[in-house]
Amino acid sequence: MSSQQASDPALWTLTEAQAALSRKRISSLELTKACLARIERIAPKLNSFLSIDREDAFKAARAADRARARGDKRPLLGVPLAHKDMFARKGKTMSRGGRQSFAPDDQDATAIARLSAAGALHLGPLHMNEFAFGPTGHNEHDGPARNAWDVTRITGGSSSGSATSVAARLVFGALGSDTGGSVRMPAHFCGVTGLKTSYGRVSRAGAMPLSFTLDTIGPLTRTAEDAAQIFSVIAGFDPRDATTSTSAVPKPSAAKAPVAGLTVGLPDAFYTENLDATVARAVEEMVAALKSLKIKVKRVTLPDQARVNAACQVVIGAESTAIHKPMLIGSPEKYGDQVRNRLENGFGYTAVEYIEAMRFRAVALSQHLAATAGCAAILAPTCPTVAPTIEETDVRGGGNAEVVIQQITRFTRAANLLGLPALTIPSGFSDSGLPAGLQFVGAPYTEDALLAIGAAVQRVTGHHLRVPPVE
Amino acid sequence: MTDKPKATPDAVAITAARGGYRVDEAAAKRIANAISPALTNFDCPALTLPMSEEPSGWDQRAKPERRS
Repeated sequence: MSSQQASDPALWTLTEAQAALSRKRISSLELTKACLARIERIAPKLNSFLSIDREDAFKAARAADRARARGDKRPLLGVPLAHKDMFARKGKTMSRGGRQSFAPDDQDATAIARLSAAGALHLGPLHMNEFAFGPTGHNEHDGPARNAWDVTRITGGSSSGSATSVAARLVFGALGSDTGGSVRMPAHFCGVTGLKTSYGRVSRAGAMPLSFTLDTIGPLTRTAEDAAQIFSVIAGFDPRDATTSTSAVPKPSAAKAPVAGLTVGLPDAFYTENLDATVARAVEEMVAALKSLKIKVKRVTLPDQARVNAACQVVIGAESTAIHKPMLIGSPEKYGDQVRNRLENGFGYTAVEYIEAMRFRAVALSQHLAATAGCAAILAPTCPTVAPTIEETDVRGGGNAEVVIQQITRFTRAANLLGLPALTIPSGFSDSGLPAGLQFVGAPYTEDALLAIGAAVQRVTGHHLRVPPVE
Repeated sequence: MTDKPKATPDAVAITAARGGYRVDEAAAKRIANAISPALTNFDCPALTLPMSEEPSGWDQRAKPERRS
């Protein structure tokens, strides 16, 4: 920990904050005040918070401090978090990134309820792409979120506010959702750790749906160890979401498991194409870091990823349109041009095309698992380039919008179609100081291995420790 | 991967209308351009149920042993 980090508790990692709280070196109220001071100073520059729940946060922090004094040892007791504005919170309206406010739900989303039950505080709703349907962080209603490393650059999306808030050390962690890359893409562009969970691992009850067979929920944090803390709280079977698994949930200590002797696969095609110099160098350096940890790296030949991506485009297109159809027909003016146009695209697919894409998923996963047999994960770029500018990616409803979006997300969609977990971690910086994140993609329900690899890498690299110059 | 015939604006307009949504000529053309790259042959085995292949993959959470 640097001297600056020692003096400003908002710069600690979540794990460091937990330790300081449990040793009573700091109170939750002091920690919350430190975060809120930083939020009030920096969040407006990033357009990352839609509102700040200041009084609720202070009330909850005081309650956490009283609980700790009584011996309460819940894992996230008094830790300030904030989340993408798509998770229901009892009595609170939610924008879902849209033009209007949606009426309050009568109960919290399960992921939020589990975080609250573990003692976490929630500081306010965060910016997101409209209805989570976009990979850049643009929003025609709220304006673009801005990257903490360079405010003229995109954050990535759709968990835009989550990523840039965690990068700027405004909160210790944030929930995002990942349907085609929406946790990993902003983690890459903003230099934070993002965990896309296996399909069925984390309940979506009370979370806004986009594509019901692709949607997943996961944390964005400063480190893999921090991600393990949040993941272990939110994962697991939920009777409110019939797609959730009853399989055992890894404990936070999974991030400390030994990694020597594991094998990581390095794809020999597709994920090697059109990489910029920073991303290409990050891959080389990551391979060296893995080898220093005695992790074997071997080349793997994956099945046709273009076809996997095509199937994902059909599935997300058809499912998102089906979900939005009543509002799209009844109130099309409530959508921004880009999202309305993309939702209209879904009307073009036939039922047979959708079913063929769905059937292909099992075939594609079988091929993927055969190609990666013996590997704990594959290593791949999350995106071919570091963050472009907000201006150059502002395609709005233009005729080329879908093509641009499909290009940006071409390295992330496979994990969604196949239901795989994937962990993006900060892996390098451009000469101009923009981060690049690489992803480790595992077999279904192997988040524990990904977190162990990510944490091990972060013990021998320092990319996750850099703080953006956004003051 | 074998190419399939791509979407045409006329076909898109008809499919959308059957879904209860009217699109004009410009929108139908834009939609056809946007979705055509994804229309490929996925070469799934014939005469098998959608979820009969092993491993069942993305839907594995639905296996009985994974449910309480």
